[in-house]
Amino acid sequence: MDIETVTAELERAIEAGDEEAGPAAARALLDLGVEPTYVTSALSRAMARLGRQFQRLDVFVPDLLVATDAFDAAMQVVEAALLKSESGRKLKGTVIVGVVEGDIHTLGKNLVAVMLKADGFQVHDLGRDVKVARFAEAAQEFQADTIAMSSLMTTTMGRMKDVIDLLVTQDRRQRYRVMVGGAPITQQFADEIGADGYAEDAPDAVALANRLLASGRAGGGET
Amino acid sequence: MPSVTPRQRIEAALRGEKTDAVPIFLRDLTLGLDVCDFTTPEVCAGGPGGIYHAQKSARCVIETQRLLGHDCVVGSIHDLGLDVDTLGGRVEFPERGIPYVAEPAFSTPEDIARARLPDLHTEGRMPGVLRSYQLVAEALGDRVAIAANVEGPVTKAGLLRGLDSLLTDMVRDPAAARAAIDFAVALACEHVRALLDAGAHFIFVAAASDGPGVIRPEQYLEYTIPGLAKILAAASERGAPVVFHPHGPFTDERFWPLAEAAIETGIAGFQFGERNDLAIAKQRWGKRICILGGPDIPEVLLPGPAERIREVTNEVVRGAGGDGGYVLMPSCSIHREFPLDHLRAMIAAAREYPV
Repeated sequence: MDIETVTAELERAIEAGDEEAGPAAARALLDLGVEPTYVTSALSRAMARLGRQFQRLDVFVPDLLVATDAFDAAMQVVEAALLKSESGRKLKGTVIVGVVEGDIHTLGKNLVAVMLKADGFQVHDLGRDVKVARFAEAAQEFQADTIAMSSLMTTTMGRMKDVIDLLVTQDRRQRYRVMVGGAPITQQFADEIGADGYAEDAPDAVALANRLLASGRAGGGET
Repeated sequence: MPSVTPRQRIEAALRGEKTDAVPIFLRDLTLGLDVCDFTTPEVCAGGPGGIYHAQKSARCVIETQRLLGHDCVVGSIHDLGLDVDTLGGRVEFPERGIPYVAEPAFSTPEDIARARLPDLHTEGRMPGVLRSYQLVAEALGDRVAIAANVEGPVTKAGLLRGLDSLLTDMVRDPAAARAAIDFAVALACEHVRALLDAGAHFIFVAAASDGPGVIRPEQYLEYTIPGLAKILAAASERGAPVVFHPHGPFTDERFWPLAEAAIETGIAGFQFGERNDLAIAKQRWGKRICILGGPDIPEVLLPGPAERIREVTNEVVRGAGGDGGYVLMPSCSIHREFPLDHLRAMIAAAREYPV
C-alpha cells in the first residue's frame, strides 16, 4: 500500500477507536520510511477532526474515549521512533493538567490531555483530586509553561483560585499560563480568579493553549 | 379561602395545572450542610460506626426549607457514594466538599457478576438516609413536597463501575455495560420503593450521564429509556409521579426524539438543564408533561448579581410558566458553598411573579 492509503487508514482507525488497526497503520507508515512527525501529524488531524465533531454533537463521549485509547496505542509506536529520529518532534510547550482537589471527574481532563498531546504539546497528567500545592510543585518539577486545571463541581472550583493565589504568593505566577475549564466554569469566573483563559471543552482547550502560546502571554516557565 | 400549601403547589404543577404561585424546587442536595454549619463527614458518615447521621441530615433539610421557603425538598443530604461503599468501593468525604467516589465498586466486569443487591434497610449508610426522609416527612411532609433523588440508569451504573470504564464498555464490551446498567436499574428501583415508603412524595431521576451531553442517542434509547421505564414502574407501584432530569440539549431539534421517548414512558415532568430553551420545551411538550428548569447555574445563578438573577428568572418564568404545569428550578443541583443570597434573589423574583 502507498503512504497516502495507509495514512487514510491510520486516521480512520483513530476516529473509529480501533486499538489494533491504529498502531498497525502507524507501524506500516514508519516501515514505508516516513518521518515520525508525519505520523504524529496524521494522528493530530484525526483527533482534531473528532474534536470538531464532538463540539457539534455528531459524536459523543464514548467515541472520544475509544479514539483516545487508539491514539495512545499508535503514539506508543511512534514515540520510540521519535526518540531515535534526529529532529525528534518539535514540541510546542509543556503543560501540566489535573483535576482540582476534592474532584474526581477525569473525563474532560483526559480528553484535554490527549488532544493537547495530539496537537504537539508535552503533557504531564497529574490525575484527579490534585492538591493545590501539587500543581505548583509539578509546574516546577516538569518545567511547565502552562497549567491546565479542571473542576466539574461548584464546591471545588474555588481550588483553582487557590492554585493561582499560591503561585502569586510564591512570586511565580508570571512564569505560567493558567487555563481553566469544567462544567461550572465560565469566562467570567476565569477572569475573576486571574486565570489566563477558559476553555469550554477539549478542542477549545487546544485552541486556547495555542492562542496563549501565540500571544506570548506569560508562561516563561521556570528559570 | 384556604391557602395553597407548597406541597399542593408542586403536586398541581406535576399534574400540569396552574396554581397560586410559581412552585419552586431548589434540589439543594448538600446546601443544608452550610446552613447548619456541619462538616460533610459529620453528616454523611458521622453516626456511630461511620453510619449516615439521620438526625443531622434531616435538620439540614428542615432548617434550609425554613430559611428559604421553597416548596419542595429532597429528604436527606444527598450522597453519591451511598451504594458504592456498600458494594465494595471507596467514598471520600471532604470536610467542606461533597462526598465523591474514590474507587468504584466494580473495578472489573467480573465484579458485577458477583454482586448482589444490598438490603437498603440494614446495610451500609442507606438506613440513615431512609430515617432522614422519615424525619423530614414528619416535620414538613404535610405542607412541603418531598422528592426522592434517585440516579438514572447510566448515571448510577457510572458511579458503580466508573464512568470512563462504563462508556468504554458500551463500545468494546456491550455485555458488560448491559450488566452494569441492569444492576444499577434494579438498585435504583429498590431506592424508589424504600424512599417512597420513607415518606417521599415523588421520584426525581437525576441523570447527568444519561443523554446526549454524554452518550450517543442510540445508547440513550438502548440503555436509558428501558431503565427509566423500570424506575417508573417501581414508582407506579406506590402511585408516585416521576420527574426525569437527563443532561443534554434536548430542545435542539436533533434531540427532540430523545425527549419524546422519555415522555412516552409516562413521566410526569422533565427537568431541562443547561443548554436548553425552556420556552421551546414549554411550547412543544408543555401540554403533555410538567416542565421544570430555570436559571443557568454557571452563567447566572453562581456569578449573579442579584438583579441579573431576578431578570433572568422573570424571563424564564414568562417563557415557561405562564399557564401552569411548570416548576422553577436552578439548571442543576445546588451544593454547599453556594451563595444563599443568589437563591433568595431567584425565589423572590418567582414569588413576585404574577400568576
